[in-house]
Amino acid sequence: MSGYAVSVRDLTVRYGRTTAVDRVSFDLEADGIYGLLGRNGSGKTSTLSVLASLRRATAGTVLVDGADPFENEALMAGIALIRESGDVLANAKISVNFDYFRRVRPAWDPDFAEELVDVFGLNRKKPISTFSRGQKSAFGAVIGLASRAPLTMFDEVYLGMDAPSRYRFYDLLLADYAEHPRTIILSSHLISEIERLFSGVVVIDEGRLLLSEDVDEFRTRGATFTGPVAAVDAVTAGLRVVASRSLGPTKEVTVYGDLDETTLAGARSADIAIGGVSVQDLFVHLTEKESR
Amino acid sequence: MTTDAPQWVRVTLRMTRSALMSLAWFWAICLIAATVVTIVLAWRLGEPPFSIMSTVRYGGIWYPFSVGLILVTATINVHVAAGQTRRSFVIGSLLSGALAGLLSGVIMTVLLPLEAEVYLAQGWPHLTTSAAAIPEPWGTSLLLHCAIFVTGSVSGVLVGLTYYRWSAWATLALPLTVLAPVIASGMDGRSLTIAAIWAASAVTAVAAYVLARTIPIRKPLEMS
Repeated sequence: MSGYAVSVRDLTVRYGRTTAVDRVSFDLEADGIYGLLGRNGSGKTSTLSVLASLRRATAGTVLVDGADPFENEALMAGIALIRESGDVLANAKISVNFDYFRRVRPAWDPDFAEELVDVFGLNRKKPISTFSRGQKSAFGAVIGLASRAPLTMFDEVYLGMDAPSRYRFYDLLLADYAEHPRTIILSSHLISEIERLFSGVVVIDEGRLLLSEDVDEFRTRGATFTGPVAAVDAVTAGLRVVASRSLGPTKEVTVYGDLDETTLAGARSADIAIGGVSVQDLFVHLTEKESR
Repeated sequence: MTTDAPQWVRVTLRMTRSALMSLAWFWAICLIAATVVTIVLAWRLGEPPFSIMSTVRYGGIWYPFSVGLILVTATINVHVAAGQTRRSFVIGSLLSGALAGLLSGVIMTVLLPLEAEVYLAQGWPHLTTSAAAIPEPWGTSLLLHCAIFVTGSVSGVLVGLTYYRWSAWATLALPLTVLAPVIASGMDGRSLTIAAIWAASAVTAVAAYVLARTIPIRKPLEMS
């Protein structure tokens, strides 16, 4: 199995007079885990909905595996968008839902699905509608993972889960991706937990694309200096500080922007550790109004 | 059915199985209820004042109507989010409803004369109101009853789609979306009326198909 490549060009989605997505363009190579990041209402769900053929673009083009997915029978079978509130047979039990998805998802793995139900501790005897919010989210994750769709998208599905379930989900996702590579898009505005999974990120804000790039490249947009408070303050003076944390005599400062060799040399000579920047810190900085 | 069959065929077969199950329940309940009501009326009044089975025809319109409406509003998001097309959904919904409707039409066409025989044997008149007459010959009766049972289902699908698409605003379209079953409610056995029911049903089906093909799939309703 191989994942689908995604190409989005000038995608625009409008709801009446409201523009949810405004001429967004980005490309995702096949087989990778990508983060679609944006604050609430930034246009993430609308973008994913167009990719999953849940709605038509107002303007622009979306290509999945080189073709328009809208009402494309062959392509749609290989595209899965898992939304938090769940698109499942809510009044039916797990077994009925599995029987349904087994029929419609070509790469459905029934054994993996059963295993996931045990891992998340879901009750097989009750209808999905009686599940708690976290259990419903977990069931959505089960459907998304077991479908093994070449383009799998999770739209904030893990937000309803408790912390242990979320980490279980991340580990399962990574393990299954290693065994069955495909294109996975994780949409979220809570990034710190999932940024380790990403191979690339797309950041949108207020419907517009801020950036789309490889995660390593993204991390070089800034740096983190960790060391004695006074030394760190001296080195980072005049730089664009994105985040700052202090613990006793130690301080960690994240800065944004290109750093010249003098600054880096000064930091090294002051025994300051220089590290990559966290996706979360950069995301917060990029989506703050005053930073633009 | 192999997975090589076109999606709309697989979906139609799956939906038809569900529709036939629902139909079996409908007829089981109707037959038991009609028998009980006939016996009670004969016991209390001496004879049933009208054909009980002929009144079942109204259920034959509005029961498939409600099934079609619920089918659309409750499952279109699951269907499309599971990677299937709107096209297969709407074709499956319309065809499964129509197939079940045709079967019910045949059943009703057979049951009405059977009921008349029972009434005759008991010396009871087999009456309906003039507007709800049982048409002759049997071919006309078959056409009318198939139209009655098909139209409710087709209209239910269209009404479900309009409400899914436009929420409460779809109420404004009701005079058009329920036109076919309203005509059918007259139970008028004239050829022109029967043709009108079939024509209105065909237009309703085309409207449902066109509307469904681009309908946006909303977030599912929050489950309780």
